Amino acid sequence: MVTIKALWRDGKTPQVQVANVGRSGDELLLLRDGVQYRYRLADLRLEAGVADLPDTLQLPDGGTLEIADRIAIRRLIGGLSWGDRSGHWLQQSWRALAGLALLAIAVLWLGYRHLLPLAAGALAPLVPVAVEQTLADSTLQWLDQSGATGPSRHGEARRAQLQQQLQTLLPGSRYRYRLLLRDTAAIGPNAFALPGGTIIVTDQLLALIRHDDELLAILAHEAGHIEARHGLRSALQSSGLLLALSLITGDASSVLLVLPVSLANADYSREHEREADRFAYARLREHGLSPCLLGQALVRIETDIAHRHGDAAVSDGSWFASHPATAERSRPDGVRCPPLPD
Amino acid sequence: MNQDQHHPAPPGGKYVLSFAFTATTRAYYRLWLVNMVLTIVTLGIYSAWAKVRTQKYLLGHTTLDGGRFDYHGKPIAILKGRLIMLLALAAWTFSESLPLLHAAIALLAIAAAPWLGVQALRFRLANTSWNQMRFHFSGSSADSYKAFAKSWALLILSLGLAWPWATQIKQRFITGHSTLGQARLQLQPCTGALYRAALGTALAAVCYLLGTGMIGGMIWQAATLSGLAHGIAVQFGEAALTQLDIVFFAMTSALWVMATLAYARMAISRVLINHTTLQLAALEACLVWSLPTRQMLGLHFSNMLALLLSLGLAWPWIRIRTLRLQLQPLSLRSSSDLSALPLYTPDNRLDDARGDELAELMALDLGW
Repeated sequence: MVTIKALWRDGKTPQVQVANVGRSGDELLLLRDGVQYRYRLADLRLEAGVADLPDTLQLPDGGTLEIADRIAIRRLIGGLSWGDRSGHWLQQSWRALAGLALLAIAVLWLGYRHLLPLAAGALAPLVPVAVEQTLADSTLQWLDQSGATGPSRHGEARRAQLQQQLQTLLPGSRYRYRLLLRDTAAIGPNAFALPGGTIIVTDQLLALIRHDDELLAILAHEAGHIEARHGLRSALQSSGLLLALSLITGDASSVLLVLPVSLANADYSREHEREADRFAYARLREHGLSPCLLGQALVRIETDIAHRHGDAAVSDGSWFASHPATAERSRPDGVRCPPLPD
Repeated sequence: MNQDQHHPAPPGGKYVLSFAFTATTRAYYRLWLVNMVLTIVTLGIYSAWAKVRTQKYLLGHTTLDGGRFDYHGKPIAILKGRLIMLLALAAWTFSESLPLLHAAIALLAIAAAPWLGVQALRFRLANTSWNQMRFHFSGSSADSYKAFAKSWALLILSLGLAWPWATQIKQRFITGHSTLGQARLQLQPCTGALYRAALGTALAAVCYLLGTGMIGGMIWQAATLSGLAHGIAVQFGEAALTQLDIVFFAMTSALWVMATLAYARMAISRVLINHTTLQLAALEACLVWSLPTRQMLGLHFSNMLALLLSLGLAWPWIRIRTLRLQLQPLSLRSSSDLSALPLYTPDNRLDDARGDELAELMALDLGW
């Protein structure tokens, strides 16, 4: 009879006893204190030790046997459970780990590139338009109270005219577009979309872009963000990403995730910009306008920023940039655009 | 194992039962990698198994008086808990656009916190064992509400100044209801020491700020002088460099906060542990954690540096060295040998991890 050395504990007191374990038929023999105990193998549960820890054999009476000779006890009992065995194999084999690591990279890439945006895209439409509008209202209120924006120097007529132009560009939208003008030196020439159909245009942008067609191209781009619900989707994607990363890294501190999450968010943001660009190109074409108008407007804005703040303020092509490079955006679907008109 | 010659009684008739930590960085790295890879491949489902394996490994390599600790949580129970945690998180994220619902969820979470704390502690302690004896948490929800309410009220009324006192009230409830066999743990009054720990943390924060500023500045200087910064500017544009600077600054500040928080946690634990006693009939035992402040300061600062320089990959190494440094100077001074004690634990198995996972989500500080 094979005997294996084991440490017996009753599970109720801290006492430890050296014992010997053997097998006879379908029974386990336990010899301790000069007395032999018998257990049916079917009543026992062998727990594989993690990494280099000893195995533990759970006895039906609540006692346990700690067994350092893992190979011997596994042979004696007749092997580990399927789950334990495969887990153990993965822990031992470098080749398995390498293969799995490759698979994991593929899964990560798929999840990052397709699964997460897909899930966010599926979830975002569940939020009713009314909720999006309340969200926009509170943002607008915050913006106005923060002092960053002031009332526009343009009259109501200009605002109504732009809103009218935008509305005719987007027939059949589920949103009722609301165009607002604000004077803001802090933000500079810019237009931004709030969820639910609100677009804010700064006086500085109106001063810079004098061609109404180019202005319309920018408005169409912002409408692209609203139609595709990019605000909600970004929020969903970044919280999904944070959750996934914290699950994966286990007990690691979330401070470590600042860099990967900010890189990923910028990447997602660039993807959204491209999507909004494509939306704008399509609307412009539908109305017999050139898709080059958007790129022209962007070049004007960029030149203005570079002129006022220096080249460093233009964040083209960086991994952290929230927008794609303007050079890329000046070639709608690969089309070569004419030089900038005055 | 627990034989008398292992720990001779020093003068005063006290036995010194010491803790030891034998985990290795190499094995833990491997465990961490396999866990990470499997969690990704199974889309997060394996994370419950990963948690059990990590706990089993770390506790299994922790010994007191030669007796191993062990973890007995069931992965399926933890998975169920994680699913509920996920739902709670989703509700929280989704309600961000609805302020009223958001506030209602926050209120509900605060109201449930004391109860959740009890649930979590029951699960954690019932699934932790020493020499295969399970720990047990005997606190009731009613007592938990009393302790938390007192602690919070004190905190709010004193505008946070009575924080050590409030912490002591909460921790007394938690420690006082933790048992091993019939032995009950107890927290002795330690408000003064907690105030000193808070003061020490403030000083440590200043030290760390100076250290981080110096090292961050050195790295920045080195990047500028070596032409690396210039290369990046040429390759990716000035703006990319500006953004890289911002990210670098944000990361170093985050690490400074992290080091300070880690120091604070350890300084508070040191006070709490050094005031914890174990009582059973004739036995009087107390935990002694003789960790010098200088060592603590160095530990968290070097951890932070390693994290920064390795971009986070040094995490498993940091975890093991921190635990080793924590456990090595920890011991139990007892008036008698534990193995001679009539310690007897009633059966308490618990397989409901829902409270545990939710408490983790809320980052409830339970001190275990």
